[in-house]
Amino acid sequence: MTATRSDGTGARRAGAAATEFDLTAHWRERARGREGWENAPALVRDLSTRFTATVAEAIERAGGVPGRTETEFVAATWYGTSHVAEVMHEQLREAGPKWLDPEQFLHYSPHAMVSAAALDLGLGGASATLVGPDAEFQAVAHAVRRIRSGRAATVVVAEYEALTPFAAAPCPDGPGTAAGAPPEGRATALVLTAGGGRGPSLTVHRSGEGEGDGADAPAGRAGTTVRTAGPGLLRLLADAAEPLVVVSRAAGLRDALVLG
Amino acid sequence: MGDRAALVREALATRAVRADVDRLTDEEPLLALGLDSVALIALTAELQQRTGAVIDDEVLFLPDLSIAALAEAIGPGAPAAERFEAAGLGVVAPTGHGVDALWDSLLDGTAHRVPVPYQPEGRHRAGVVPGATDEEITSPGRLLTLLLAAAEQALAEAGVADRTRVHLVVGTTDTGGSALAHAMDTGPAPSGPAFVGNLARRAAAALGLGGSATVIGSASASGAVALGYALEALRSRDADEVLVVGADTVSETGFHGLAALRTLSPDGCRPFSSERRGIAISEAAAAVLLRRTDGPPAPDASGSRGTSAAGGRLVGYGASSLTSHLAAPEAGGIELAVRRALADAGITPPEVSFVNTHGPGTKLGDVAETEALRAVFGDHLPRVPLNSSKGVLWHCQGAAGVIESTVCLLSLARGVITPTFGGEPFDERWAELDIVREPREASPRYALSVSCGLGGVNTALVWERA
Repeated sequence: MTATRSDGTGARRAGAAATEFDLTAHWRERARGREGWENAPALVRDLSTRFTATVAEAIERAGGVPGRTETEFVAATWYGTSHVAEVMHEQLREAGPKWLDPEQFLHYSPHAMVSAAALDLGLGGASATLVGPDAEFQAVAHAVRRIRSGRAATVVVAEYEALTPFAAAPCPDGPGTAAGAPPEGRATALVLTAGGGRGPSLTVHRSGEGEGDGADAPAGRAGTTVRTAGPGLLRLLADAAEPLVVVSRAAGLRDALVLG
Repeated sequence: MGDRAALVREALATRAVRADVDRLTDEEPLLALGLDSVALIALTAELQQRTGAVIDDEVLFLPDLSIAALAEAIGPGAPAAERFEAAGLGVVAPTGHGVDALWDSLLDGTAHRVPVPYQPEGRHRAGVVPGATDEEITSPGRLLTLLLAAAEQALAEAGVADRTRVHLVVGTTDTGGSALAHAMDTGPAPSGPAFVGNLARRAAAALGLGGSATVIGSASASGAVALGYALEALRSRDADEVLVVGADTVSETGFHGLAALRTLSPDGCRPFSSERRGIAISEAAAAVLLRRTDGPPAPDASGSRGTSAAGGRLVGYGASSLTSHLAAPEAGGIELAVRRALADAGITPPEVSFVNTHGPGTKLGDVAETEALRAVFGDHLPRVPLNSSKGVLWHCQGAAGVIESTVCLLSLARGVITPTFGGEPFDERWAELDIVREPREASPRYALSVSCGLGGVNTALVWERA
């Protein structure tokens, strides 16, 4: 169990992948109300398949992971799989519990995406799903901590979103969507590994630390792009080819992630 | 040197009478305490685990081995011992408000239950906070109300001096519960309170907490995963105090979804019973204020064990995602989580004083968990007391990991392992196991708490007596 532990020297982005996908067909079925219920589980299958494929692609781009049973997994999402609860609520109101689909309820928890991907890809390490406006920042920070402390050698950090038309309405700190457009789905995965492999380093700087103090980190890095964390943070980290600083937007905190 | 000597005294006090340890000077030989060589080997192993130092055999087998000699062997370069204390606890559950009400219920097996407040009316009941009306139970603000009540208890007991430095981690299964249903029914367009992702921020604002606010949604293991997440933040020194709250309600979608999966039993949770048929769910919130402290604790002048749970500490967390089916428990995955938790705590299976099992009372779940424990503990398992709190609490969902950890902390502090209610008649397949059926006085040091969730979320926590 300790063979794949890191030496606590820090994390690197070893691989990344991202995808976006059209959910219009699913929302069309939702709009049909009761007539579309039989196709409701197709959305969770679609989302799960695409999320798993994105994680698999990130692992492949990382050149594989050394010990899948030890590989940890932390995911972030804003709305999770709450579309399942939306459909269930409609079904309960209109027709009663006999219409509920047991398969769909398996995806009631936002962690279901992680469970399905871990099952399919044989990832057996500790896992967690973080939910909310700061979840992506927190998920990356947690993964970096696990690697920095030497408790994990490889951590997959992933995010997914499948906002429903209901959830895509204006909401403070929500991911939002283009005005008038049906919400799209998206998934992103990073493979973070310990130590001196290829790929840019990824560190967390806390408020009050010495060199590179939290939000002050950019000050010592002239020319570095500085962004504020928000929905899509993982995509930013996945795509970044140059050094990047992302400052937490959480109230009262000025922590920062530094890539590169 | 003083800190290191105090650390040695702390470790000694778990192996000898504390008053004798307190009377011993730093230079007197430990033989005066009546410790044999096996006890001294175990003592040095613990000191090595806690400090990272390597203590030579030459030191260990000194005929006049003393506290001072061990403190010197640990060395000045050794990292200060860090501890992650449960400084405050809070509970709102079918057992009532507070840890004392919880403790009373654990001993007498009583909890408040009502018919599930959703149509169609059936045979099912749910555990709810005593006195709660159906309107309160199903209200969109119920989750936050329970959360805040438990959190305030924990913050008060911990005597938090500066709430702006406290981080909040909330574990819940509620991602589409009563608040979302209310928003869909009443409109207008959804706003922040309808979405569980905003729950921790809203709670932090209401409590005046200034640290990060995190929501963990990892099925029924959410509370335990939240504790593991908090432990990592404390170990990395990204936080000094973290308030971990597990909270859940009996929502209409949650209840009917579990019913659709045919997971629910009208008889409630009956762990390890030959007549176990599934789970029943409860609303609850439980809170633990975890505080990082450096260096050994001040010796307890009275030498007596406190009656508050506060002061127990979290020493290990392990988890796994290993499963072969999203809906089925997997012994191998639970085994891996337990092994990882013990390794993280730096203890061996025989050092575990008792196991507070996940013990849901499902046909497959109880079997998978005991298979996992048998794989880890081997022939020693029949000598390890096992209990489940779900016979009393039923399944508190996202709160389960935190409230069952609270059960462990209370047992460690009060010296009693609580019984397993609902198990009669116990399944003969576990006849050789020590399933605790009556309150049992003990001096437990390490409690292992297992929590599992749908989708192969397997977790284990190790708590140590203060």
